[in-house]
This record gives sequence, C-alpha cells and structure tokens, in this order.
Amino acid sequence: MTTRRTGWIVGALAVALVLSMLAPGAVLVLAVPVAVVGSILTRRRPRGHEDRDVAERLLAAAATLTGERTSSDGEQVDWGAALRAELATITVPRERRRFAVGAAVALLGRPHSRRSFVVAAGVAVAFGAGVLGVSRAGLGDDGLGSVTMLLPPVMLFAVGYLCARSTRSLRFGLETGVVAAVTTLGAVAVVYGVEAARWYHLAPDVSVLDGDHVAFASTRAAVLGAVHPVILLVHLVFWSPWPVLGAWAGREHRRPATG
Amino acid sequence: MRRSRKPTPQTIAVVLALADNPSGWSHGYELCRQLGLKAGTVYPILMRLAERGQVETAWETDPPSGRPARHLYRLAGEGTRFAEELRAAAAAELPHASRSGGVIRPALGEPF
Repeated sequence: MTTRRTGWIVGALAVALVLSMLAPGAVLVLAVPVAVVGSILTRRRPRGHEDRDVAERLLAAAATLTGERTSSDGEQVDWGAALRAELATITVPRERRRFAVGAAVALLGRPHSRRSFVVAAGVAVAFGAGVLGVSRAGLGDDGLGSVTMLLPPVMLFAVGYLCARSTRSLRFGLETGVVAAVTTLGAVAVVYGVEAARWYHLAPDVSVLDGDHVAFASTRAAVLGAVHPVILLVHLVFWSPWPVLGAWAGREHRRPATG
Repeated sequence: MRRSRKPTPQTIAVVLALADNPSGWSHGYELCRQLGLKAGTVYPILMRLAERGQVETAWETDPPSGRPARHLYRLAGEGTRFAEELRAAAAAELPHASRSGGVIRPALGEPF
C-alpha cells in the first residue's frame, strides 16, 4: 500500500469521524465522494514527470485545465497536446519559457461560460424546485436544513465530475461546478425565504432551517432569520470542496491507467 | 456569415503566412518565429480559424524518435478564399504592393 493511498484512507476516516459526531447520517453520503476521489488519485501515474522543466510543468498545468475543442468538421482537437508537442521541439530554455507562457495564455484564454451558466442554472432550478416540493409535501417537518446541507455536496460533485469527464476539461468541470454552487445557493435562499414566510403563517414558532421552536416577531423576522448571511455562508463553505473534487475526479477518470 | 468583424492585423498575418505555403503544412512555432508573434497571439488565432473551418489541422505522421508528433496547420478551402479576399483588400488599399509583386504584410507592431 502506497503512502499516498494510506494518506487518503486516514483522511477519509478522519472526515468520517468528525462527521459522525456532527451528523451521523452525513457519513455515508459524504464519504462516497472522498472514496471515489481517493481511488482515482491513487492510481499509478506515468514515470518521467520529475524530469519536466518549468515550461513543461506550466503548459501541462494549463493543458490539464482545458479540454478538447471541436473544429468545424466535428473533429476533436486536443490543443493542450498540440502545444506540448510543439514545446518539445524547442530546446533553448528561455524560448521554452516564453513559448509556454504564451501557450498557457492561449489555452486558458477562452472560458466556456455560457454552457457553464446554462448547466448551473438548470441545476439550481431543479434543486430549488425539489426543496420546495419537499417542504410543500410536508416531508420537511424537521426543517429543510438537512436537505440543503447534505444533498448539494453530492449533486455538485456529480456536476463537476460529469462536466469534466464529458468534455475532458477540468476547467469546464470547475467552472460549472462552482457556478452551480453559487446559483444553487441563490435558489436555496429564495426557497428558504418563501417557505419561512409560509411556515410562519402555519406555525409561527418553527424554524424552517431545522424545525426547532424559535419565537419570530413577524413574517419579516422569520424570513430574515432563514436567509441570514451566516446560514448561507455555512452552506457555501460546506458545499465548496465537492464541485472541485468532482471536477478533479472527472478529469482523472478520463486518463488511461498506466503502469 | 461568421466573419462579422474586421480581422486583426495578427489574424491577417497568420492567414497570409499560411497562404504562402498552400501545398505544405506549417507548425505553430514556425509561424510565431516567422511573424514575430507570441504563441499567446498565434494559437488563439489558429484555434479560431480551425473552429471556423478556415484552417485544417493534422498530426505529424512520422515524427523523429525522441519527440512527440507535432500538430500541423494549413488553409482549408474557405481559408484560401479568405486569404484571397484579404489580399484583394490589401491590394486595393496599397496598389503599389501588388504591382511590385511583393508579399503584402500588415504592420503587426508586436515584437516577439
């Protein structure tokens, strides 16, 4: 067993231990992405990476963040590979560095923003509608917090993973996953606000977040309590690693296993 | 019609450089050196031209041992027509250039 693999297992166990103290139900849900990422990242990697100079490392990093582009005839062009092959023909170190900087700029220069926003908006609308449905169906008597805290990590991991895997672009997975996290937070805030007002009229002393008894003075106070910036920030902090891990895992999953 | 904006001098330079080599393939780094442009300028242009179908790309089929196959570029049919349009436009603006038979090159103003 490699040191790296051992590190992942210890890390996953530590996460599971902390989560088991905070929320036992979260262990299973959140340990799965950690296990997936760990198993992918601890696969054997090609030899020879240690011989790469700064230029090659820079270009390799930029190429990792980008995927293939489609030419007009539908052919997929791997520009990262094209630029790295070109770099391999340049022998003067200064020229290599200059070429690598320019090539990295070329690779990173054009975002996939429109597609990312479309996917992220779809994810946010679907999740918001789901949370609203849970609340209206009376399934959220214990508050909506457990749904909005625990499901998005899995969902955002899946978004990052699928986007990175389908396009072979870590960058697209990251962009889409992170934007999806932000738009989903917006959807959660809207649903919390709407449902806090509704719950206040049905049961004025029940928190929409966790179903606990909280004495709100008015509808406005109930809404502001539900969409308090600290609550939203905690959500975002809790969610934020998962789209990044998902995108990374999706990118790694497309690489052929070597060794 | 995709070309809604006037091409930049750098785009014109890349297209004309590829047009000067109509039968063979060019390498990206060669174009950078030939035109005195940075890779960060030339490659986005090549990417855009390839996406528009004006440039066709291929991988070197028989690279020397010890280095990977390079990516090659040449004008496709639509790119050749684009180059002819650019030449005609440049000749109309600078009639003396075409009369002298010289190669028309835009002023790039960007040292390598």
